[in-house]
This record gives sequence, C-alpha cells and structure tokens, in this order.
Amino acid sequence: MQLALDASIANVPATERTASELDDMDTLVRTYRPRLLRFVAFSVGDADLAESITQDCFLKAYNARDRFRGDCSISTWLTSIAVNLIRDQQRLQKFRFWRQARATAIDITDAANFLPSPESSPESRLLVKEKAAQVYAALQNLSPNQRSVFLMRFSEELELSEIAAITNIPVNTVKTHLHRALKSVRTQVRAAQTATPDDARNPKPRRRARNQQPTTPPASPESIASHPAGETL
Amino acid sequence: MNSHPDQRATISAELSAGHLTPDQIDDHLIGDLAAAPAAHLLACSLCAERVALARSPLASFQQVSTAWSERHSATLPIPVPSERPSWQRHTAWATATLSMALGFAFINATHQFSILNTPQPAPVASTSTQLTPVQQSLVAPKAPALTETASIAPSPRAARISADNHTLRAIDASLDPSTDSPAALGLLPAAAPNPGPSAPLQD
Repeated sequence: MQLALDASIANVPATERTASELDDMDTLVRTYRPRLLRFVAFSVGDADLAESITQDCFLKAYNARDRFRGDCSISTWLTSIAVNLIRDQQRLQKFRFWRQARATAIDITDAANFLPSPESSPESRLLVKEKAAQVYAALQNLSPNQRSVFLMRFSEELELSEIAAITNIPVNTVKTHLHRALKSVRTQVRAAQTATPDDARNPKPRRRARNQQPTTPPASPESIASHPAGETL
Repeated sequence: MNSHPDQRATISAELSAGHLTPDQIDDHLIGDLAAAPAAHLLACSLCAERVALARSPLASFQQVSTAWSERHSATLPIPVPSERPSWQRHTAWATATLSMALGFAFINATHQFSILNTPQPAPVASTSTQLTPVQQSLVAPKAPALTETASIAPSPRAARISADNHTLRAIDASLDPSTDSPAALGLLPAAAPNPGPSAPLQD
C-alpha cells in the first residue's frame, strides 16, 4: 500500500512538472533555446534561418504542448520538432529555382571569439578555434542526414536510442550514419591538419591544389627561401 | 573501403598487439564499443591517448558551438509571445473598453446638454445692436442661465443680466439724439422692472 502510494507520488509530480514546464514559455525558451539554436544553426549553416526555425520550433511546441505524452525528455521532443522543421526547410530549398546566397552564414572563427575561458592561453584558444573550424568545414561536406545525426551525437550528446527516436530510423541505421559521418570528418580534419604547415608556408598554391587539380607546379624551395617572411607565417 | 597498404599493415599490427583499430575508436566515440576493446582501452594508455586525440576536434567544435549559441541567445531579443495571465489580459481589455465607453458617454452628454441649452434669439428690442456684448456672453457654453431660463427660474445671475440690459437701454436712450426732451426719458421708469440702478444714469 505504501509502495503504491509512493509510486503515485513519484509519478504524478513528474507529469505535472513537465506540463507546467511546457506552459511556462519563458522558462522553456530560456532553458532550451541555446541548445536548440546550436543544433539548428549548425545543421542549416545560416544564423538567421536558424533563429527563425528555432522560433517556429518553440511556437509549435507551445501549441502542441497538450499532445506531449512525456515518454521522452522535453529536449528530445524539441529536437524532433526542430529536425522536422529543418527537413521541411531543406525540401523547400531543394525545389526553389534559385537559391539565395547565405548572407548570414556562420563564421566559426568569429564564433570562437565567444569562448568563455579567460584562464586559457591564447595559443590553446587558437588551437581550439582551428580544430572547430576544421570540423565545421568537414560538416559542410556531409549529407543532411549524416550531419544531423553527427550533431545530435557529438554536439547535443544524445544517446543512440534518442537519436533513433528523434529521426524515426532504426538504431543500426543511426550507427551506420554516424560511422560514415565520423570517418568523413576525421579524414578531412586529419587532411587539414597535415596540410596546415604547408599552407602556412605558401597558402595560395596549396589551397588551389586542394580544391582542384594543380595546373602549376608547387613553389620551389628556392622561391620560398627568397621570401623569408613566408617562413614566419 | 580501399585503404592504403601501409594503413592495412598498421591496422594488422594494432590488431596483433591488441590495440584499438580506427573503427573501434570510432565505435568508442559513437558509444558502441564492445566489451573486450573497452576493457583494453581502460588498461592501455596508448589507446587512451589515441582516443583523446580523436575526440579533441569534436570537443573543440562542441565548445565553440556552445559558446556561439549561448552568446546569441544572450544578446538577441527573444521573440516570445507575451504570456500574461489571461485574467490580466481580460482586465486590461475591460478597463480599456470601459474607459472608451465612459468617454463617449461624457461627450454625448455634453453635446445633449449644449443642445438643450442653446440660447434662443433674444427678445427683439429697438436697441438690439447695442446689446450684442451681453448676448454673446449668454451664448457662451458655461452660461447656465439664459433669457428664457431666467424668466422661468429667476436666479441672481439672470437678475443681474436683466439689470445690465436695462442699464444699457437707459444709456442708449440717454445718448440717443432723437430723445431731446426729458419727457421721453420719463418713459423708462415705467418699463424697467428695477428702476433703482438706472436712477443715476437718468440724471
């Protein structure tokens, strides 16, 4: 009898808490907006569009709060709404005849200036900035599904089962997407890291060589030596 | 996957040494590492270092993206629909409606009152042109008593106005050059209801 009473006490407040949390829009936004904005922004790669989608997401969540069953966390529920909105947006973009240039694309080096670690040295901050930029550049080459799953796992730190529930795909498919995405990202990051010292010596030819087949021979050691400033860059 | 022969050799060497392969490192990062490699990872510092090296860019990216989103959420205005309690919203609407209704009622009442109290044309007198200043003051909106009203319900103000009219008439009569004879002035006391104040003017 006591156990049953305890169980009922333990269960009811959780539901009530969830309901009240969804009713209190201010708290909901204050709590979940940064995470949701991060996920949406790095999924679509456009800061303004991400703002708009995040706003829509909260509006949809508020309107559909009565339909929230409480079988997952609010964060997971919000992320699933965001995934659907991003998918709608991508579908819309695909069928749009001309695509607008991303005027408000996220500048990851600018984003790295917001790192709240005053105690870290400038060198370590620079290193963090470089690594983040490499991952962000690698993300651009992933398919939308892979990018979405990658962000959910490594940015939002969601479990595989949660990702499967959000994306509505089996866990094994989630693992496959993650493996491919991770392999691609790691390969690109490794390539960028090995290319970085050469880039520093002679950035322009190397960058051209990465994007397209080299049409001109790389700079000779003599030419590099004739520009001692290039050594210090 | 077409891997380089050197890579394949490295992987086979890792497997023979019991170290984690790149795929197993990926498994660990994904959170799907089997039990045996996980146990090895706990014991092997080299593998732990490799895992940390593989995790480092991801951690940096997470750090930067979190800082960016927190900064944006902190600086940008949050366009949330105002979620006031419904009773507050209803009270505000009721107050506004009541205020507007009272305003309209007041304006309407003022208008009706001014229509009711519109001054009728003053009694025609021979000296109507000279009475203009007094009648204009009667037409003024704040004048509570007019000529007709004063006759129905006499008030001190109406009496004063009538006395002023009488005085003005007396002045006109005294200044009128056609009335030369004092006999003509002798008609005024008979017409005036209050001859008292006009007595000095007759002199």
